[in-house]
Amino acid sequence: MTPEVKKSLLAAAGVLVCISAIAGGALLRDRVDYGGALAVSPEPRGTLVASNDNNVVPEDKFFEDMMELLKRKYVDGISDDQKLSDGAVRGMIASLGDPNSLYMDADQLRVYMAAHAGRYEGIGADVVLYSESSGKVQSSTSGAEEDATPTGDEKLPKLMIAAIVPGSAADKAGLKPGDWVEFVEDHWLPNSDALDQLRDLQKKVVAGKVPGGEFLKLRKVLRTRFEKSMLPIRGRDRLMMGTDGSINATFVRGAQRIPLTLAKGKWTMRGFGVKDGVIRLPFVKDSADQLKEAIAGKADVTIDLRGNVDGDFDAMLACLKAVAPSGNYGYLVTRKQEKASALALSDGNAAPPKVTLLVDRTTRGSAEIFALALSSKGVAKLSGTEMAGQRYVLRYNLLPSRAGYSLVTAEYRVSDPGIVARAKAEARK
Amino acid sequence: MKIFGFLLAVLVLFCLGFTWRDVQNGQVPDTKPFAKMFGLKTETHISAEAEFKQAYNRILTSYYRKVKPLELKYAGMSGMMAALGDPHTMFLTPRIAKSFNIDTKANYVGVGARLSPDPLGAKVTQVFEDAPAFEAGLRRGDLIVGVNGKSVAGAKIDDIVEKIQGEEGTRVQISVLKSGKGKPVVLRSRRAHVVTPTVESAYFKDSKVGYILIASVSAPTAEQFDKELDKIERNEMKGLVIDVRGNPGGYLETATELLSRFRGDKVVVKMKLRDGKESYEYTPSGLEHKFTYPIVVLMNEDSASAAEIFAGCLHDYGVATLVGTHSYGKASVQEVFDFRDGSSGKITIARYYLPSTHDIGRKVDADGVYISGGLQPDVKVDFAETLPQELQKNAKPPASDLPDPSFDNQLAKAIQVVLTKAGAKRVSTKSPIPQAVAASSVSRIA
Repeated sequence: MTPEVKKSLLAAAGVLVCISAIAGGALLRDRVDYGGALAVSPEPRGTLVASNDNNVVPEDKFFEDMMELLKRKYVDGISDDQKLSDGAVRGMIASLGDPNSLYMDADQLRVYMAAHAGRYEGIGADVVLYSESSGKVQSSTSGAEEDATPTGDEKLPKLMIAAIVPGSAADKAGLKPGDWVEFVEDHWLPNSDALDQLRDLQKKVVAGKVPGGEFLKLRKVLRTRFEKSMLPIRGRDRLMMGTDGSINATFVRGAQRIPLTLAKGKWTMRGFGVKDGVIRLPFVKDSADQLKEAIAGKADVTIDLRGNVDGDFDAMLACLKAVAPSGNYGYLVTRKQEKASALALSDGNAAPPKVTLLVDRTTRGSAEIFALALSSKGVAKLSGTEMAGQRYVLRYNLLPSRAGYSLVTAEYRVSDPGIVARAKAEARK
Repeated sequence: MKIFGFLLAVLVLFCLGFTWRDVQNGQVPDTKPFAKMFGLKTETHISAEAEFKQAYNRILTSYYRKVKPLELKYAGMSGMMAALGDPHTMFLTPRIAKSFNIDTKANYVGVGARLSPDPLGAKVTQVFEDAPAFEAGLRRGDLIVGVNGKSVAGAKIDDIVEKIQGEEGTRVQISVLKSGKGKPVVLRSRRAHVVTPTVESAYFKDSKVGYILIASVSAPTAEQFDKELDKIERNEMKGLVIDVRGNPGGYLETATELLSRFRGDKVVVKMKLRDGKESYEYTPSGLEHKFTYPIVVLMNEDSASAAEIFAGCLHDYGVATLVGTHSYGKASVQEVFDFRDGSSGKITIARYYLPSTHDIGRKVDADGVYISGGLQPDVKVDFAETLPQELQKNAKPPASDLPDPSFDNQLAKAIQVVLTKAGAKRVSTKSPIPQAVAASSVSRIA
């Protein structure tokens, strides 16, 4: 073998090694990313829309296989698995159609959790989705059983002001809890009122009471609005997130429309405090200890629960123990148990004071449960107006990407829903 | 020393191969796969699968109302595909997948009729030519009040359709209320393979203009187009209006087939696939039809996908003038993958560009409001808002589902444009009087 031949053979071998190095690298990457052979290897027919038959996807591998399929086929390539699983969680939560069970991305979660602890951004108000029929549920066809399912035509939730941070832009502008949001910037937040109005008008046109032109006019207005509409949940983000600049929004109070320009900023809701003998009680981590200290040795106590929105359930329970004697304080209806479980307190306050609770429609969630539990047992007397009617136990779940979701895990009832159902069944007989 | 240099080069090349996927996707090489390869813990302590399963189980067991596991799973799949931010990559539940399949293949087993919801059951809006339902005596305007002896009053349209459809070769009894008759008659229809008509035609005698409506670009569409064209060309033709308003698209192959009637051996689209590869779709040659008159394509914002390719190519070939409003702007190609339980995943696999190489991709702002994209019409004319038919006084049911130029201002304009092109005198069209074009969005075929 001449040195030239040897040299060129070596060079050829070198090139071969180089090529196999690249190929080997790519192959290994395939194995790492896709874990070897795919369970789904669909060979599609045709292109724009096409399909192939009967890929075997076992139930429990559904998610993995769909993810692999997307990674293999999607035009842009996907490097972030978490984006897909977060999306899946978002989809599942959204399918519940529950205005209190919500998915939040990392930014939203940070802002809303801070707001629960009293540190607000945006216009300085707690804005919530409020579904007028969310409190009313239709009993299932099986009769007395309390397996309540939402009615099919649940109304679109409205975006409503639930609480206002004193001194904030929202407060200075004169906004009040109960005001609802119709426009954010020039985006309409669709609500059922407008659609009902259109339906009513249609009936009138059919009956010949109103000329058809009126219907056309209203429909055109709604269509134009709809083209620039925004989901209420996004409107909430716009109002509650961000600390710079300002935002335009139109609020509705009764028949009155209030267009406002509000500055965004950082606002702090006062935490626990005692003023003129009235205890302001937010439900956060240390509330129970502060409450115990404040009521020690007192026979009469007044607690202000106004503006108390979506407080922490466990913190609320600890406060309940601080003011109420041991016993049963109503029922929590969950899916898990066949029957509702009792909200039972042990090691409660053996010498409870007389309690007066200040409430209104901004008393919501844990605070409303607190008020109902105490008043139903005669431990406390309620003073003020009707509460929000939202008696849900909310749990927050954090995802690895720092996004998260809230989930309603129970609904509070003062009396045993089983008894009510049985009584209803009796009455029917 | 030399050998070390070589080994180092090999190692570098190996790494290049390993990170090639990231480079291809235009991303900075990811360190996660390296860590994964050596079994190291990556930054996230829980895998995507585990995250999904945890949330799935938590919702099923902890949510305060009962949740159907299958529906929850499907919602998760939808959410996962929606996370990609592409409105055309989506999950289809078995029911949606089935109706999507029927729509695109335009071939199914049934009786051959189009139904729309009605409080008494279902209203027949169309009976396909030569279909079993026609043989059995079913006609447009009939009301279906019962199926196989059972009342369907108040039933959902999808459920009624499910009852009427069935195995090939079996029979179904349909109780029908004919207009003017007080008592329902019972019709017995076969169930057979039915090809959905996706093309309809009309000839406007007063303007001598032919009209072809292409409702979707499905498997049999090109063949049906030929047939309808043949039908109207028996008349004197001063022009042709092809209506693709509301046409959601369909198969790329069919669009190519349709275009081959106009021009052979032409680029239809350039496709860019995920690995950076480009591929071209050409029309076959030798299938051209001789058009001796001008052509106008009528489109609107609901003309999408294969319908846009059809309209856009005819425009780029210099064959047709576009009239109407801008089209949807869907510049991507999807494939549908079926799963065993009947659900499917529709996934965007490529982007396409029209012969003039412009990107028609739809752009929307953060709130989903249209900014730009789609084909732009040569002659822009918005649809005049009209009163729905049921609200009109003394409204007579129209003789057919096809739009009528005396009620449809866009069609009237299209006819005017095509006649101008033909060099004919301007024909005055009656001022548009409100009437709704048949909205078929809620109708189903059975």
